[in-house]
Amino acid sequence: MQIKFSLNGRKLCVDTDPAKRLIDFLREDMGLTGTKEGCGEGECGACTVIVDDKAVSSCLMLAGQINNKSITTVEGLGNKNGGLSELQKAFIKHGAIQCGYCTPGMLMSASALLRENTKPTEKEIRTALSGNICRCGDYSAIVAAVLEVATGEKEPKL
Amino acid sequence: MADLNFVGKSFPIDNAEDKATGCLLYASDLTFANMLVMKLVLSNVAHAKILSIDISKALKIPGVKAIYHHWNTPAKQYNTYRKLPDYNDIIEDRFMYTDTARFVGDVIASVVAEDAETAAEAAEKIEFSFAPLPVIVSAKTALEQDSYPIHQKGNIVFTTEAHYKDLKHPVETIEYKNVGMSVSTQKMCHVAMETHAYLADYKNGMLTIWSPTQGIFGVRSIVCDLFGMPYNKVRVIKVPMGGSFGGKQEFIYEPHVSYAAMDLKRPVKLHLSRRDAFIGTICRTGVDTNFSVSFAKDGRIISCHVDCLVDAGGYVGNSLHMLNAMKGKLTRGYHIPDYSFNGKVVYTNTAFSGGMRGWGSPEMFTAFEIFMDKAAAELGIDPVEFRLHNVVEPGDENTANGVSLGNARGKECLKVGRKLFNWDERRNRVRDFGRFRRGVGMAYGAHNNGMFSQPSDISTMTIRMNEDGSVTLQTSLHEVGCGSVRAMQIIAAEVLGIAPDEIVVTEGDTLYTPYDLGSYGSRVTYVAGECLRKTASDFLMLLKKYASHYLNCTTGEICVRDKKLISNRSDNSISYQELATKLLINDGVELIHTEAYKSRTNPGSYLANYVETEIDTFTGLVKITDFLSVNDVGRAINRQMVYNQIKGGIQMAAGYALREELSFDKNGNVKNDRLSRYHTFNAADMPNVRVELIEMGETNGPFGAKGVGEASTIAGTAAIVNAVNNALGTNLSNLPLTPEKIVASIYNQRSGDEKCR
Amino acid sequence: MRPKMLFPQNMAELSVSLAQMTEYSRIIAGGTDIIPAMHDGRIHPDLLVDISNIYETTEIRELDDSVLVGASVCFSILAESQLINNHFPAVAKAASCIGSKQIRNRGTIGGNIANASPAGDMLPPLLALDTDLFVFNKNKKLTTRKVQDILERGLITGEVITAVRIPLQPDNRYNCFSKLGSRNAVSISKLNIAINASYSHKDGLVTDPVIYIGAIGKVPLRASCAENTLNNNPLSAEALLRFAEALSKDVSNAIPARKSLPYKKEAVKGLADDIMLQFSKLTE
Repeated sequence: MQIKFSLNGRKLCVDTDPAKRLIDFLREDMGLTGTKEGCGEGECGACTVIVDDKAVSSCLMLAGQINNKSITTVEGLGNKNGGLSELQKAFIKHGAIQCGYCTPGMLMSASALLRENTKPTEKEIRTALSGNICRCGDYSAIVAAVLEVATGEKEPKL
Repeated sequence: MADLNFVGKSFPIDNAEDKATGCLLYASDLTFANMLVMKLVLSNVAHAKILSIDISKALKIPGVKAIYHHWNTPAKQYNTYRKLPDYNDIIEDRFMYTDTARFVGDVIASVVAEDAETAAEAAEKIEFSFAPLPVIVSAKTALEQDSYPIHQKGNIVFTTEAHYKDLKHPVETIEYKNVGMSVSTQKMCHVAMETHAYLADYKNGMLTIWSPTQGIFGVRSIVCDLFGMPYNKVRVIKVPMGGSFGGKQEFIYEPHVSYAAMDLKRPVKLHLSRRDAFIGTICRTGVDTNFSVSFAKDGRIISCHVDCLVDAGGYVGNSLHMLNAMKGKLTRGYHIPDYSFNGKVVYTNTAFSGGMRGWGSPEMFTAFEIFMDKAAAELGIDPVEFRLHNVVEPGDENTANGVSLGNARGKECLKVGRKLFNWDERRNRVRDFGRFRRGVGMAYGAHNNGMFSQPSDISTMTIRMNEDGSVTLQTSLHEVGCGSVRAMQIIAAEVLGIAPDEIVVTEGDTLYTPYDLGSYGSRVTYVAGECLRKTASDFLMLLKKYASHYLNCTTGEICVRDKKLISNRSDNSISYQELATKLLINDGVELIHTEAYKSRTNPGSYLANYVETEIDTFTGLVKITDFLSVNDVGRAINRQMVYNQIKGGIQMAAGYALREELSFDKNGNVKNDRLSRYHTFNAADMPNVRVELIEMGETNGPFGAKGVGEASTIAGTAAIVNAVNNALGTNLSNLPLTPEKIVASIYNQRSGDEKCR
Repeated sequence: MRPKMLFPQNMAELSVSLAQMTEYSRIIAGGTDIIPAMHDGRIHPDLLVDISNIYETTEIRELDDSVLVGASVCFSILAESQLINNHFPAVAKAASCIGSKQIRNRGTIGGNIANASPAGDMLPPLLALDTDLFVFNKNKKLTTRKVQDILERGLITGEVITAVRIPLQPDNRYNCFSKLGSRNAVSISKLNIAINASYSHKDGLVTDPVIYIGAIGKVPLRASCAENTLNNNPLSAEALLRFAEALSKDVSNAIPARKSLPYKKEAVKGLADDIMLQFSKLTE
């Protein structure tokens, strides 16, 4: 099936099996391996991407379902000059990245949150991220990073 | 402690940017030309003899290249835990593909095909017939004389006894009270975000394996010994790892992908599904522990007897070593004048146990700290005072092996925590009796730093200065995601006066990097880190020695600044670059230095956790409302990472206390083999955690540092359990404290109260 | 073998797609239940019919006497809808508690009903509100059925839920929802409950309560003991205590032999506490 969609700002038309999982389509057909598989049942959030401004688990969507939709993956974050986005910089600064496997999904969930709510509270951030498991830390560094981008407060709290 | 240039400051992990942009390639992201995909076929029954496997239908599916099972692969047994060639006391009780399923998750077959869909389709077409055998899911049942033998030699794999007397701290007093308690801790899963993944390829007589392992040399040992190959013809490459926590320390599926790659002469990739990771890889050991301890009136321990029953699961794996390790845990933390230990390892038809973060310390200290709370209550002594009477002090020895515990600062952890948490006031609060009840609890813990006095605790490192003065450290480091590479960069940077980002530190590749035991036993900061510091320091001496010729001074008169070697005597200096190039071109001397370091000390790392919980007595849900962790770390190398590791350790400790259990029904079926049913603490319910560091240094640790990643998870579980027991007035000791158990105990309490009226 | 997929764009195309369905075929809107089941090998559909592009399945529209919600409306939209929050807070709350943000952005109300999981969070509120479902078939016939009926009898091949119709409630009638999971967020319900009851400010009495408890049987059950204690009673502390005990009795009656009974019959009292607090707040 011909699928028309926009991927990280680029308009594309790709022929693929519509029943292929979106995560496999992105990783294999599109060669974008930033989106990770952690569980295959939509529980861990590692495969989170943004579809039409909403965070979704790409292991719970099929390629045919992105027809006429706009997709952002972790590869699509960043500023126009090929640099890191504010959120990515904040993650790095606050030590929110350890093994890194949950990081792409976390960034996508956080980005989606900030698209719909530019000034989330800590509670709202934690709710938005509760579908993303991090096993290395306690979420506080991640929350601090998102809060910094939301509020503009720059000091990391240990 | 004096401020240093780099050590003690905060740095993001070395490859943070690659992780943030998604461009770091983990094993499951790698694809090779002509690659095949492997899918495991794991047993759905807990105990059965496989009578026949019919792969004919499955083989007919186009794209299927091979299906492996017991009868078409080498029938040599191995042990997935063995990381050295000469382990004598290892029991090799499993085949690559079994002929008898011994637990749900045992490996029966694998399919190798052109793609994952085809492999999955073929896996469903394999036909088995098997004869069911009796299923044993409880370690206590396995102990019985007539329990059906899961392996030929019976279900009791190993028995050990030990008796240590502390002649340096004898207690000359009579017993005032004897307190006993049984505590049961459960099997738990690592739940690393990246499930196990491997690639193997056989070309030009060389087998290459890419694995996110904690021990490349162990992988090599197992694979070579299994297939009779010389060690130099098998290359194992450590690839980036999405978390391990011990789960990737055994060498479970490397043989399977290797065999397929050599048989089919094409690269083979295996990425475990989450379910296969839950049931087909190691889990935290399940243990039943019983304490019988006699105390003096002032609360000092006189004698302590421990009975320990370890549930190995379907294969023995590391359980012998785990039991032996647990034998010596308590004496690392406490003065125990007369300590005796009796332990057994049994087989059951459940998932096979292995090492998980803390390697026996969480299992033993969780049980003991819950017991100590009960004992404190029976003796009428405050729990913190009780610990202070009994914990070790700097310079004490571990009576189990005579090894010095070094700068043991457990008392500082206890005292600082007590003050910061406002323990005395909070503990003496009037108890709540409404729907929501709060309580406070604390616990203490101790852990090792490396394997000494076990013989194999070695790291070898090579440091090279390139012609332009830049530095490369060739090491067989295994970054597990906790910042080991960055820590090494910081240590080298401190010695050489070069910024951490400018120093390249390799991870392990058996073809190119020198030997390192691996990332276990909390040896990376303390042992590998000190190896690196020594290697870099000795290398610096070498630089100074060569520079002295150019600078016309003695080595003692040279200092280093801004990548230059500067003579104190004159204004002369020579940059690293100039020195390196001159030496190479003019003198034919390469600036390269290799050093092997064998650990000769093993101090303890200590911690104290203080917790407040609030229990909803209707639903049994527990909220952690305050958590303070005080950690004796010697010195933080990367401050931010130390905090983050401690917090991550607390997440796991909380899961161990309240909800994470790999549980089985009476037929050995796994009740929660997926994340929708196995719950960790997520962002919504993880509390804010306060962390304090005690940095008073440690001998032989790089710049005084010692380990924290594993130590940090040891005390949290008992502290939480103790807080729950404090809130409810109970002695709950069967972990995890699920809502069901809490509600049952409240209900029983209430009925008991009513019966008494 | 992956299934074939059809993406009908309107009701006419839908009937054509439905006609191609076999007993192995499935309807998909979000896909949060079906896709992992396929990936796990638990189901092997030959055909998937994706209804999410059909306008009638995506709208939320107020009619004279009811609100129409398309079957493909996802939980996050339901949870944030002003209309739903105003008239059916039980539905909005239930939708906001399902899974994670990612699940709520894809899972649909139609899917929750058709999947008929015993713990389905949308079910108690929809039952308590006496919701109708529109079922469309391959012959272009649109019938109205009750949620209870779908849960008990299911759908036959070639049928699909296209929308739900929730009747608007009288001014003095209030509805709310609460769930108990194994943790605060992202958990399948161990128990869930919806109340739809009238409250008179004049005499301070609750009347005509309709209460459904879920996750204690194949389908949510009427909590008749609990309804009896609430009916014609005030919202006093004493009445609420009796309510909690009665709810516990309803649970015991429903699952006398289940292993989870000792826990659920106690834990439901916490749910009772929570939901009556919500109800009281609504009546203020």
